Amino acid sequence: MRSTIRLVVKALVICSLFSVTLVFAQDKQDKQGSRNAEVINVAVAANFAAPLKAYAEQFSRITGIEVNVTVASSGTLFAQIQHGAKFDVFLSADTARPQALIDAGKVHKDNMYQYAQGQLAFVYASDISPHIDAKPHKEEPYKEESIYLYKLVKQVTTTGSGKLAVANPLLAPYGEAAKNTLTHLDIWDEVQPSLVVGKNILQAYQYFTTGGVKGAFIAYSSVNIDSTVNTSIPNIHVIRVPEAFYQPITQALVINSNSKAVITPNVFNTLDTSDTKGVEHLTELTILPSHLFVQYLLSDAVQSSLPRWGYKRSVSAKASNEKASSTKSSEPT
Amino acid sequence: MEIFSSITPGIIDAVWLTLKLAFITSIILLAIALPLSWWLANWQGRTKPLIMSVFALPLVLPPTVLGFYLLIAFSPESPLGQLWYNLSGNMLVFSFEGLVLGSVIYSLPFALQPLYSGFVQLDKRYLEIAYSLGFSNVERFFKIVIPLCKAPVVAAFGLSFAHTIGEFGVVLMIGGSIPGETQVLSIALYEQVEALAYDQAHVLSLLLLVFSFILLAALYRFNGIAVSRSVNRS
Repeated sequence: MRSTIRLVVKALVICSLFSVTLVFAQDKQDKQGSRNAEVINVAVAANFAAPLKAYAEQFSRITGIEVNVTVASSGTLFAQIQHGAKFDVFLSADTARPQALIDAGKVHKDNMYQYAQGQLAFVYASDISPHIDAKPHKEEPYKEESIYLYKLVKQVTTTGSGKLAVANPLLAPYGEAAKNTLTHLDIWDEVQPSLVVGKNILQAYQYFTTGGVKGAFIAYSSVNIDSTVNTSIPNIHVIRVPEAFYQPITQALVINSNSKAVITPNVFNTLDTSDTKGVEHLTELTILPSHLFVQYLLSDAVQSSLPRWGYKRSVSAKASNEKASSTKSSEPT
Repeated sequence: MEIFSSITPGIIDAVWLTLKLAFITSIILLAIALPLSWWLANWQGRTKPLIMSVFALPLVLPPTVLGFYLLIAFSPESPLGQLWYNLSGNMLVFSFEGLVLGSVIYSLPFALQPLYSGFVQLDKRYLEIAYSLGFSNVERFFKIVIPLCKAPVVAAFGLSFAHTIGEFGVVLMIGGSIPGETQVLSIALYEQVEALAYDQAHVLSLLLLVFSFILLAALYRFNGIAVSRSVNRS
């Protein structure tokens, strides 16, 4: 017994010594590798974490600026920033929290930008099948979709557990959109006893993937759209909820600074990122790294790739070009 | 008195639900932990350290991770969830019964530890005397052991009760925040913080703190040594 304990303690000591050595070695390497590199800290709402990490990687490759990404819920990040967390950029899942930071005087009023539009989806298990053979009418848009979704929801609330998962409408924009949709279908009051509420869209999805519920309203971005983006889960059906059924899910970011940021003109729209000259040109710019990152997120290249992640672009191609071509009308205050 | 205006019927529901959950969980835990810890304290097998470790594991796993596995285990597609559904006709996940089972697993070490150390320190001569007087095993346990170990029993009950009141991660994963069924105080509190309703959150936190403080103070007052020992240990 005692010898076992001694052995375990020895092993622990050796392990910890080994890991300390590793950490120091790693630290040294980092310092050598990026002696002059700049680092920005970005906070992102959980639903946009996967695309942001991919974009941040591309951004670092182009500019050499390192991006540290922190993932949490919008509400948590908001509370942290309000109490002094040093994030350079905050990507919220809604527009309310960025606006609240502006109202609280933490952020300059012009530092808020819409960066993506979320889309609502309904997932249901393969044993749910409303028998529907009618085809959509062209005269009455979404009538068939309404009936179809209505039948699906009804089926979900009467099959197996009879539970239906949504994100909390008070906390998550997608939860609110789900409520909008169920209200639109005139079924919100009826499904109350069947609702299980996740703290966010990912948890609602988790209730579904672990088999607790047969159907869930989630973000279109969290289901398998592009096989390179997400791993697929077998035996699920996904339908995109028509946008007419819910209030738009606009996601906005803020540059966490009291002084006005310079975003225009967008250097990335005129930049061939495969050209090394372009990269050299970028390093000569005097734009702050965090401003450059936001420019990148709003650039045509990023915005036009948003559908691949299940989002709609929030900056139209035209607006994006206009921003690029407009002259330096805004100076820092 | 203005702060009390934010106490809504929903919050009263959540408080009541939390107390009910903590009480039922602690009663069940006592029923499990009393015989279990007595057996552990009197057993000297080679595999004892392994068995002890298994029962202490809920201390190690992050509550949300433990909750995730309970979510899988309680789902109607798992054997356990299916068995429960066949027996009771209800789902285990997203139900009060599921929360009780989850809390029992989560708080087990807190009931086990004080009882185990109490039983280990018990002077065995009392039992030998009782044996020579012809007491049966059951009689010895209830007439000698329990009265002598009153302090650890109270500590086990109080600690599991307090731990269940503060439980968050597990309930978050398996609860589904259904008002009156699974929306306990800590979940309601979390939702208010996330919804930026800080005033309400402050009131709730204050309630939770004051209540827990009174509970713990009472525990320490009645048997300080037993509680502080087991708290230090865990």
